[in-house]
Amino acid sequence: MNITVNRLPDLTWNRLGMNYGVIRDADNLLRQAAGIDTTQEGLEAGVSYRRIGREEAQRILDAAPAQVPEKIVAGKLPIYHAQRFATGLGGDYDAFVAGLGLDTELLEVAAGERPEAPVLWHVDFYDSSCAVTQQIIHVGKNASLTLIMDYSSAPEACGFAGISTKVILEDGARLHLSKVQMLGRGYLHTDDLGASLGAGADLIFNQLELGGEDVYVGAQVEQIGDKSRFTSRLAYLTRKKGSIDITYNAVQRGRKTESDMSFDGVLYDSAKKIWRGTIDFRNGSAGSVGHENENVLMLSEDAENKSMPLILCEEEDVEGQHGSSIGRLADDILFYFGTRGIDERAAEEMMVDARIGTVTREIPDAGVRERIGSFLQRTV
Amino acid sequence: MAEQLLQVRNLNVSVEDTELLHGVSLDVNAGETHVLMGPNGAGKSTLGYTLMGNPAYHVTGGSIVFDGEDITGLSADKRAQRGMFLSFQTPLEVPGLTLSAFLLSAMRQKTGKPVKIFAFQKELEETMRLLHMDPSFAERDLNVGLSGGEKKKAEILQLLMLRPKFAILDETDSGLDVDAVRTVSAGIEEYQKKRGGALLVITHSTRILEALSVDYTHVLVKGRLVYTGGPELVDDINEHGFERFEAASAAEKKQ
Repeated sequence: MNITVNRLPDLTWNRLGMNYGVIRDADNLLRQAAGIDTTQEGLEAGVSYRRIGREEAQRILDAAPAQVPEKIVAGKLPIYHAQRFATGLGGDYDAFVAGLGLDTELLEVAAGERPEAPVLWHVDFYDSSCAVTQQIIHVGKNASLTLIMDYSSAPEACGFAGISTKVILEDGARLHLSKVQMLGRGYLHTDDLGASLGAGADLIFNQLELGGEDVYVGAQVEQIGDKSRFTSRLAYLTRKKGSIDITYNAVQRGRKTESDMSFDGVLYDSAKKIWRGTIDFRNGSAGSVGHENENVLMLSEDAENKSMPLILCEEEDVEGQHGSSIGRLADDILFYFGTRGIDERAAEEMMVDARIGTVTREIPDAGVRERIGSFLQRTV
Repeated sequence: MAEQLLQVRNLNVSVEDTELLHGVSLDVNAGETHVLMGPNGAGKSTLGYTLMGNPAYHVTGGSIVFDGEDITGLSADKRAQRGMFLSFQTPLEVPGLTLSAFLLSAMRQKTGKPVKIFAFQKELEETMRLLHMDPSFAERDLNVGLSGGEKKKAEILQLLMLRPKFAILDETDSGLDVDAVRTVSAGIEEYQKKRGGALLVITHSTRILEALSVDYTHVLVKGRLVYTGGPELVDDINEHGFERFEAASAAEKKQ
């Protein structure tokens, strides 16, 4: 059995091999996968954590700012999601996780609560583990939360680490979410995000994908409420024969919504990367603005990069922008560094640090930032 | 006798089969300040970039000797490690890399030894104060979001911190207001006097030279060094322009 993930919202030439990603031989994963213990620190008053069953999880998702499932129609019409609560990796992956029959972890912030300290959410994957964890983060009306989730294992460990996160931000809610992946070099890693934003809600999403062998990352943010905002920063390192398959969709439905997504990556050796970034202005999104920017530093002739930026418009009064920079270190940068005595190899190392640094510095916890630094020193 | 630092002999330089510098020779002794002037397109920046080892500029003839060593074939980083520096007309922006981290790496590369952080930070703060720079700029991304003036100050900050023996300043005063020129000049004066550095100042204007003690002025026209004079030549050019040098160059070419 294969799982199709990261579908492009609008098909392109099939021969490009970019319309979707495939997780192969998922039968094994389905047979072996189990839940895993997670730890949470910094749960202040107004923030609650508990495990819930499937029915309760579904009730919470059903009460989220309204998402409308859309029929998948191949051909002239866009291929929209068919999920009740849309996610980046998509319906097949959602069904796979549901098939495991695991509890959902629910983190809730009561309306109006604004705890200052971040919640630290840690998942430690042991060697050869095949584990999945799913959670709902529900931030009530006018509440806010800073949440840092990190996934790690021993450096040489291998296995499967699956994450599924659904975020509900009620009107006026704010979530600063950071996800940091520091898994061993043999891991298959999937990280799925779906988010539903009410009016004036604000989602800031930082994601670091630093370890693992084959990585699938998807995010779908439904900006349903007027003036909702979505800001994301993803940075990744892909080495040796590793691969990363990324899809981010900002679906802007409300009026005067804003999205700003940036993607910074480094490809070494014979690494492969596919990125699909979509700004999707739907009917009713008049006055909305969307930006996406991609930078890929390719440190090997054998590395393979595929990029698919996409801006879809059903409204005229919108502004969408895409920018990209892909390739080796530019000659002018090498010369500038050279005039300061910095050779090509050191310049490359500094630029790798810089790419990761743009996201690392946004993570509001010194301990996590330190662990990222140690991980990079150990692995790069 | 003054210590010889830079000797350029009969330098010919090409970019994509077009020769831009023709037989340029230049001597700079330790601690001296040389000014390189010339009309637009004369090749001033080309000479600066070639001296610093930009691979886009191909030396097709002649030699560059620095501190007794022929560096004609050396890469820019090797030249910088031997004590050369170039202040850019348009410094690059590098998101994600702070000014202090960049400087720290440059200092480590130059010395090959660990840098004492406390002493580094103290010197950085003092130097930023001299240049009237906001101390928070040290932890901001290199040149990102800085005004033209702040970028030039950041270049001079690097000059002062890295303490090269010889620095090329490429149009450091262009696009700066009067106050910024004064501040940048003070930084260059500090380099010149207290750190004993030699300079090649590439400029169109004379504002930046007011505070500096100039030893020689060179005029470059159409890729040739056509005249070398003393500091008084700066005022002369300021008053009369480059016309007579351009005419002389054209006459020489006819012959």
